[in-house]
Formats: sequence, structure tokens, C-alpha cells
Amino acid sequence: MLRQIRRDYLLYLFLIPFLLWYALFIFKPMYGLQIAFKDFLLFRGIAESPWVGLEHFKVFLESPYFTRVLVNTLVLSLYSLLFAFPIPIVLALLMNEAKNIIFRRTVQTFTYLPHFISVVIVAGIATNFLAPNNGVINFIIDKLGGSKVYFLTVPEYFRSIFVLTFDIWKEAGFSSIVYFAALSGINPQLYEAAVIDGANKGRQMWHITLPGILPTIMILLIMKVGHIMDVSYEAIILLYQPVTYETADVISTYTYRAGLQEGHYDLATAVGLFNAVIAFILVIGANKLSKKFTNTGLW
Amino acid sequence: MHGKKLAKIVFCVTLVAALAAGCSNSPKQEGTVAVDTNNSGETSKTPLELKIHLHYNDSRVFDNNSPVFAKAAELTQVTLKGTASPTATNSKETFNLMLVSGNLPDIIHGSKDDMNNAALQGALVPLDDLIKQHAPHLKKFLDDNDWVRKGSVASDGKLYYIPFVADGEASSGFFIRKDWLDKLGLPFPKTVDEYYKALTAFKNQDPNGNGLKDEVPYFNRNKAGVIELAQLFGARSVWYEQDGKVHYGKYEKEYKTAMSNVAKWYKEGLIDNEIYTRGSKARDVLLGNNTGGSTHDWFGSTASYNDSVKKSVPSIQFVPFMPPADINGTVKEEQSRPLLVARGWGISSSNKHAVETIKYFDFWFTEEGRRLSNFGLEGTHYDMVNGKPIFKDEVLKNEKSVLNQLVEVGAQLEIGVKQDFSYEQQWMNPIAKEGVNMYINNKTLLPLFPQLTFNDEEQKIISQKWSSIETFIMEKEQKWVMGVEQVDANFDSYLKTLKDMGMDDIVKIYNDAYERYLKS
Repeated sequence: MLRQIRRDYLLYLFLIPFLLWYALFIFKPMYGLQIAFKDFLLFRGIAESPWVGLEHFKVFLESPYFTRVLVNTLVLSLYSLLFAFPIPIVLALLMNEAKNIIFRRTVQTFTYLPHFISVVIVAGIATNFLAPNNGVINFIIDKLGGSKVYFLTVPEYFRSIFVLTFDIWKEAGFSSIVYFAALSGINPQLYEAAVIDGANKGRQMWHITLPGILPTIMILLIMKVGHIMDVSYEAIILLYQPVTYETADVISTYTYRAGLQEGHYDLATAVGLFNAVIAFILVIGANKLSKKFTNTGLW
Repeated sequence: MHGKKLAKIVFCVTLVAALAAGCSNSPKQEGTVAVDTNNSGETSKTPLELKIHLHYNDSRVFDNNSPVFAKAAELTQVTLKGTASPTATNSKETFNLMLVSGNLPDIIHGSKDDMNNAALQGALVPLDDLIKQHAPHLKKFLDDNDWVRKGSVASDGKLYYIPFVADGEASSGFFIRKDWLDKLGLPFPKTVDEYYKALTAFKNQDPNGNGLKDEVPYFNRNKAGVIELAQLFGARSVWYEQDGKVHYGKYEKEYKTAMSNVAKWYKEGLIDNEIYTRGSKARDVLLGNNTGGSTHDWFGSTASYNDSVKKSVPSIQFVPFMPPADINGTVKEEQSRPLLVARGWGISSSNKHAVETIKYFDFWFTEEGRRLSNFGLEGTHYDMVNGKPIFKDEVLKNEKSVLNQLVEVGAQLEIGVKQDFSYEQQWMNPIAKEGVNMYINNKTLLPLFPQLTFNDEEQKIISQKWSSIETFIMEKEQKWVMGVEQVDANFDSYLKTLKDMGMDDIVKIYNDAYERYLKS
């Protein structure tokens, strides 16, 4: 070990700035986590604020909407996992089969461009597309003889709209880059051998391509599981309405209304900690399962 | 193997980052209050420089080069130097950072809640005695307008900051397309029934003459615009006082009638069916394409559409009219501008020149100070005509708005000062001015509910219960308006749920706080 370090000391030097960054911006602020258990008074500071034990957790867990926002958060994340997670994989596989470089590059560029558009604009586009009177979608429905729907006020549509807009349209192209990179790492000799053995395209995909990128898929999946509790509130706030709260109100939006808007940093921290602990458990669980079934994992 | 280890480190650290997001460290700060009482009370003869924290509305910052404050320095010998970063874009955060830094400037400016919270933790000194001894103009103003002090004190009953006091209480009113009314041979609607008839006529009789039924009779750029109609049905949508008791409009039986009527209007297409997603551009869109018929909005900005859309809609006459009489025959307007702005400046506990500072605060309550803050510089922005400040022609005819010109030099800053509405009246759109005068002269404005001050115990209960209650109310409200749920069938269970959620406790807290407010 020591000998290794001495030999590669230059490489280890490169690590220092990053370790410092982590120490200063990640570990040092963790000191502030204690305000989740304190009645945080800004002017007195963290150390001087009185302890209140689990008070903030109690307030959060006992709020009448706790179950609803928890369920909504989980369901929305599951939707995203179920429908939005496979899309970039499919996209990358399709892209990999496209042999015309210009076509491939063009499609790639167009699919990952939405990633760079801010959520506010994406929400604006969605609102306009779905507008009941002049929106494109309703225009088409109308022409086809259907009756217009005010999509954004129907709770049943909210999750689909959200996942389609923010997880699929906005991110699918960009997420596919990782898979595409993994695909180009597969040894072409494997395909040649398969062709000689008489495997068709489908067989090749099943036996070579998919196993080749499986580790990448698993790692990204585990990371995604880690984010299951934090559905981004910015995006939801832009699309939800009181009338769609029953499916759209998630933990982060509720905390935003109850905590941050009112400046209750202690309550917001408690909720953040609660989320992080659950995410931590989920990640460990997902990693265990992944190791058991596919032999790949984060550690 | 190596790669896996690295991934492991990276992963662990990322996770920790997620855990720690949103927390910050802060040094310890002693909250002692020290008032310099040795100073005998003479005006500061030697020039004095005081540091000030001022950052509000996420955008306005104290400008050290402001000509208005330079003029004030000339008159008072006190120069202010801003400490808030002009690039910061979140006032609340900036305020909190200033507090936790442990390095307090001499003067702190902030919102009522922030200021009083900071004060109770020892960051600000109480001002009552200082005002009594050293600030005659300020004292007179506070004595004459006791609601200013009552609405600003902290829960210990002491005054810690001098608030900004606005002027000109009429803010918003009803607007309607006068040219459409004329075309259909209808008068200005005087009652809620006439308003209903006018809107129905807009809907069905094609007043824009394009052969399509595309008119949107009532629209609003705010989601809350729907509830602004509730006042026509005898309901209130806010906290209000009646017969000595405090009530919450949406927890009263009148609200039921109002909601079922509003729901009926929505169903009949009198209310824009996109009202909940139309957003801030509603007026631009619906007035610009000649389909919007009536709204309830701010006088100034709404009246200006008569000019801005004239090109595409030459016939437009979008004018304010008196609120239609409600179902009980009362003519009233619930929305108005709160005169007492919950924001102002105070003296920090590390200020060694408390007496000079309060005298400086007092300057802004002298005639000269008030004029400086409202009208800018004499000779540059205004001239005195018959003892009144009148804006110069260059200022009124400048391509920049008068307000922007004033803001640029540091006037119309929301420090502890009394605004003077006549500054706005000189350049207001004539249509808006007519509306404002109509609403004020006819005394249609309902009194605004005062800003109450809650003690710690009360504040705790409110913050525990109110966000759930509000969520519930807003959800029901929208469901009723959109017809997802029937009002009549569900109202009793609505009241019961609110009761179960602790609404009665909140009402009681408001009543207690209101009683204290009356006594203070």
C-alpha cells in the first residue's frame, strides 16, 4: 500500500483539491445537521440554539398530509423509474444501430438539447401545449372529434405529464450518452464471433450488447434509487395546482410551503435528514439486490 | 477493483452531500444590548459614517453613490455605507447571512418578521425611549398614527424598527370593456346581477365581432383572481374584524354561497376556464387578441393596456368601474394597498451612535426629508410651485418612467419614511387616476386587517397547523370552482375538517393577538 503511494504519489497529489473540497463543502457543513434537533435561532447560531429533540420530526410526521405526500413522492419516483429509466437505454441501443453518422449525430443533438433548457421554460412549454383552448394537444383532440381536456387540472394526468415532460423529454437524450459510451466499449470481436455462429441482430443484442452495458445500467439504477425521495420541487411547483395536490403534492413541495417559505430552516433540515436516511437505506438495499442477482454493485 | 473503490468513495461522499444540503455553520454571537446614553443629544457636528444593511424584494440594494443619500448626508452629516452585496438575489438569505456573520452593521433594514425575530434575539435596540428623547418629528408622526406602531411592535411590545409607510390605498378594482358594453347597449353593471348579465352578454353576443364565441368574459392573471369575485356574494376571503371579533372569511357560512355562485359562473364560461394556468401574461394575451372582457386588477398597470394594445385593438376602452353591489346591496372593495409596509430600518446592538442614528431617522420624517425621499432632488427632478413639489417636464416626459428615474437616484426607497401619493398622481395614467379617485372618494375600500404580532407559543401553533389548513382550503376551493366537487353537498364536512385540523385554535390566536393589538 505504502509502496504504491510512493510510486504513484503524483496521481495522489491530484486528489488533494477534491478531498479538500469534500472536507470544506460536504463534511464541515454536516455540523449544521444538528439544527434538525434544535429550535434554530439565526442570531444565536447553531451552537447556542436550544435542543428540542425530535420535535421537528414529530411535526412533520404528524401533519395531516404526511401520508399523502410520502405516497405521492414514492409513486412519482416509481413512475419515473419504471417509464423514464428504460427510455435512454432504448435510445442508445437504437442509436448504436444507426449506421449513418450524420443522421445519428443529428438525432443525438436534438434529443439531448432539451437537457439544457431551464425547468421554468420546459414547464411553460408543457403548459402551453396542454392549454385547453389553444394548446396543440387539445387542437389535435378537437380535430379528431374528441372533447377538449384541461389536462393540468386533472389529478390523474399529473404524474404522466410530469414524467413525460421532465424525465423523458428533457432528460432521456442526455442520459443516453452514458449508455452510448458504454456501448462503444464493447469488444467488436464478440459481435464478429456471434455473426460467425449465426446469431441474428436480436440475438446479438440479447447476448452481447445488453450484458455488455448491464454494469452501467445497474450502477445508474442504484444511483437513481438513491434519489427516490427527492423529487425536484422546482419542477412540480411550476406545474401543480391545488386541484392536483392529491397526486402532485410531494414531500419537497410540502416542505417548501411549510418550511422554507416561512424560513423554518430547522424543520426543512429535519425533513431533509429524514429523506436522506430513507434514501440511504434504499441504496444499500438496491446494492445488495444488485450484487446478488447481477454481480455488479457500487461497492 | 481500483475503479470500484473510487466509485465507492465518490458515492459515499455524494450521499453525504445529500444529507448535509441546506445547512450552514455559524459563529457564536453574544446578544447583548448596549445603548449609548452618554451622548447629550446635540446634532452630530462631526461627519459620521454608518454602515447599513439594506436588501429587499430580492433586488433593491443600498447604493453608496446615491445622490439622494448624498444630499441627506449634506443636511445631517451622516453618510451611509451599504454592506449588502449588490449581486445577491435573495433578500431573506442575505439578511440571515448578515445576522449569522456576527458582524452587525450600524443600521439594519429588513422585513417585519425578520427584524422582530432578530430583535428578540438581541440584534436590535428598542427605539421607544430614543424616539421620545431625540426624534420629535418621528414621535409626532407615531403619536398621530398609532396604527403604525401597533402594527410594527415585536411580541414583547417594543418597537425595534421604523417601518415604511405607503400612501394611496386604492390599489385594485374592477375593469371592463366599455366599448363592448356600448356596443351591446348595456350600462356599467351596478349590481352583481347586472355584472352577471353583462358577462353573459359578452359570452354570447360576440362583442368583438369576429363571428366566433371566443370571448373570455372574466379573466385574471392571478389564480386568486377567482376568489376576488367572492366579495360580490357577501363573503370575505381574508382575515377580518366584525363586531369586535376576528373571523377568517373562508371559515364562515357566507363563503358557501360565494363558492357555489362562483362555481356556477365558471361552469357557464363567464370565468376564463384557463384561469389557473393562464399566468402573468393573461392581460397581454386576452386584451391583445381582443377576447378579454373584464378583470379585477391593479389600476395603474391595467389602465396602461389601453395604450399598449391600441395598435391591434383600436376600439379598446378598458376602464375601471365601481365594484358591483353584492347580493346584500353593499358596494365595497376588499383589496387595497396596505399602508403599513411590513418592512423598515432599525438600530443594531453594535451601533455606537444610537442617538445620532435616531436623529438621522428623524430627518426622514421632517418635511425636507420626506420630500427628498419622495420626489428626489429639487431643481433636478422637481420645482416648488406654490409650496408644492411639482415634477419637471423633463422628468415627466422622459422615456424612462418617473419611478425608475427616482429609483435610480435613491428616492422611493422603502426605508423608514412616509410615502406621499401625490408623487404618483402627477404621472399616473389618467384612466387609472380616475379609478383610484372613484374608489377612494366613494369610500368603497374595506378597512384592511391590521398586522398582528404573535408570541412564540402562538407562532409555534400557527406554523404547525396553518400549512396543512391552507393546503386543504386551497385544494377544496379549486375543486369547487372547477366543479370537481359540489359545494353545497360538501361544505359542512369542509367546515368540520377545518375544525378537526385546529382552525378554531388559529381563530382564537388571531382574536387574542387582535385584543393585544387594540390594547397596545
